[in-house]
Amino acid sequence: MRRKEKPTRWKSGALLAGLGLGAAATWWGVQQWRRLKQTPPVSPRSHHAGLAGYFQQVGEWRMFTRVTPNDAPGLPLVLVHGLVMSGRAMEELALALGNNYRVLVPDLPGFGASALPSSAPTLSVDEQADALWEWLQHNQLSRAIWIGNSFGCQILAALAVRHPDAVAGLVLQGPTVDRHARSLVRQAWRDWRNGRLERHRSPASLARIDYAKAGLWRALQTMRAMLHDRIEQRLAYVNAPTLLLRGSRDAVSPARWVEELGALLARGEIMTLRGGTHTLHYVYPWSFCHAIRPFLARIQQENQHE
Amino acid sequence: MSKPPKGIARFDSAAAMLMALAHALHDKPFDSPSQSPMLDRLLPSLNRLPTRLKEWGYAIGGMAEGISEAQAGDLDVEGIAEWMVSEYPERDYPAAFIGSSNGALTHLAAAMGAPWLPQTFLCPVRSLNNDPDDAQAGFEQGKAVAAALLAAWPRLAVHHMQDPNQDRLMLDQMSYFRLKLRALPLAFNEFLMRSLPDKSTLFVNHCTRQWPVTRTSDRSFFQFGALGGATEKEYLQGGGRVAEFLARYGSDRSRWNAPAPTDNVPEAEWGLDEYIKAPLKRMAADRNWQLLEIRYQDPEALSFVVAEIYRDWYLAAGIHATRLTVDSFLLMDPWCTMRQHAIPFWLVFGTEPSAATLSRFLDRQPRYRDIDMMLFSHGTESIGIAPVERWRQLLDRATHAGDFVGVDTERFPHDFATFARFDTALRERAPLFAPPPPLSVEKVIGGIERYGARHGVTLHKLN
Repeated sequence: MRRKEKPTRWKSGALLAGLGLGAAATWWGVQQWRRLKQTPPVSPRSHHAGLAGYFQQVGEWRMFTRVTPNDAPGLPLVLVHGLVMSGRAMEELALALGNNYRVLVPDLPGFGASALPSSAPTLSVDEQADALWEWLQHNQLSRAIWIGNSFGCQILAALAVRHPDAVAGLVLQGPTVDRHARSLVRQAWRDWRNGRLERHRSPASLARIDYAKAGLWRALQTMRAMLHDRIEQRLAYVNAPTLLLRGSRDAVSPARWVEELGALLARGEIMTLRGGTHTLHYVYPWSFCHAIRPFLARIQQENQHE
Repeated sequence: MSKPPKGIARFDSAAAMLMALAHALHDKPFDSPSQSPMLDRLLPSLNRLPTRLKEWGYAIGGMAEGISEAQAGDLDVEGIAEWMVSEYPERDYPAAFIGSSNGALTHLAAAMGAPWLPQTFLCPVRSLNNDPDDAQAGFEQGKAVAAALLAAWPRLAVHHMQDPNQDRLMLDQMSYFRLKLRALPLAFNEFLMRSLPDKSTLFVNHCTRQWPVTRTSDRSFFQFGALGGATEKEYLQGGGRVAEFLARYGSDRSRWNAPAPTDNVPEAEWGLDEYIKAPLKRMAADRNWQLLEIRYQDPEALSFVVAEIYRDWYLAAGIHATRLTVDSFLLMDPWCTMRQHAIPFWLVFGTEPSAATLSRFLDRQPRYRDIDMMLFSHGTESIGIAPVERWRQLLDRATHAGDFVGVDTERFPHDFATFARFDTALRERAPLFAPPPPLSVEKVIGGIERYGARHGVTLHKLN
């Protein structure tokens, strides 16, 4: 009898210990998740460099915007973040561009500091573009030069088609989704390969904050919206001067795909930044700024009467 | 702080000096060139093995650092550059250095709190069962690897280097490819633009030392021999010392048969390839930086100048420096040197020409109270190596105490554990104090202008 009892007791003990450990890990994970959600919208370093932020009620959405201290004349630049990220990843690019221009970095509704309750619906690409247009009006601006990264490019393409007057120029860096790899698995694989190249200056810690703020459900729904949206069907209707920028090592937005997009644009040009990766705006913001400066100067020149 | 990625050797000038400086900028001692606690624990045991076994272990260790010939074509130069810049703290700097590796420069940059980006790094490629003395075979085998490396990142110059005198042990199992960046990797661009504000100073460290090479393509060269104990002539034409060395190592040759030189180009390890100056000039003009070039031929010339600048730096802080720390190749710790209020004097290698340099330096200086000396072990009784007695004589010129630091004199030049123990030993030599306030750019410029000319070190404006 004793022989039989011992293993049972051992098993129960192990089970209890496992359950206890699991509960502790879950509790720890929840605490971390909550802590990430409470991260301030502007990093201390950017705040120290003069980057300010404000909240606005824009239609149905409460939106957060970062703004650079330099109130330079000319068209403002608006930076639009990528999938499930927020403008937090674009702060250094904003500061680099802010030396010459007025730069605004909104968080799209549902993301970053513009987070929405999980019960709120997930906005489609067109709805995000409309929200951006409303946000522009709300800030007493009629036109801007828009700079987007990755999924942000899809929203900007929609904006340029739906509200062409609001777009004086576009910089689309690493546009998604390559029509030759339109599946979550292939996109995730490419993203992983890109992450390997960016491991010394990885945006992963920021991504954790932004995923916590957006919530997993919204993240998944937005991924779905991203995969269903076809940027290649919009770009032919974009008349604004557009710079397609890609890093030469960008695995998510390969050269062939960007060339295809370039061919669709009425006033498009392509630039490749040697050595650059997909999260170019975060990993190489100063090089990004340096590369697009001539394009920005030209658009500003063309619109100097405004 | 992280271990170097594949494709760049840890136990080499560029990576080690970069890590030593980065540790100083992080306010940390450079206690482990290997960046591997396990290897540091193993090295003392390896040291106790019989010489042949020890040499074998050293060669195997080196081989583990190498990449395969197949991997050479996929070398991630951008990744290596990313690692280099990621070693430094993220902040604004008043100045930065870029260019040739140099131990004295590492100390200068540490005193300023400024980073240095190397133009050259060593990419070891595994190549098993070589004959280190067979220059022709090495030359032929290296061509394909050089072509693969050039294809991996076309803006390189590849210097295949074979030095059977000083790298004898390592050459058994691998080949040395020193890669010179002729353009700036994006990581360097980004780091400089991010870290150097308007009106900062960028120094180009330009060692003009050249070496006769055999050109294998427009951007690849084969260099036989290297700066150290033997002369260029001995490598290429032989001589009594070469014949004696080869006989001692059981070779049936009386001299080496290097391919005939076709060009004189920057020396593989220390020389600067001037192609990099063009993008730097453009960037400096665009960013409104002052671009200055520190130019010298002999790498050890800068040691004299930096020693004088350090002396003035300490004096300005009311410190009378009476301690000299003599570095050897990559054995150095700028963090510790500054905190011991010691004058640094860096030597290329443990060879007779380096001993003569130190002797010349000591001749012109007031006598030091204490002299601490590291000695790098490369595992070979190479031509021109200075014996322990020669170094001991130089140490005896201290008025109070002159000692080897972390050196097992019985085992030198097979004292491989010195890598693991030199820094702890150095820190035990003297109390650590707060260093003086950071050395200003103006003091550095003034110091080079004041002391440089007599040692062949000049400063030039590039913009």
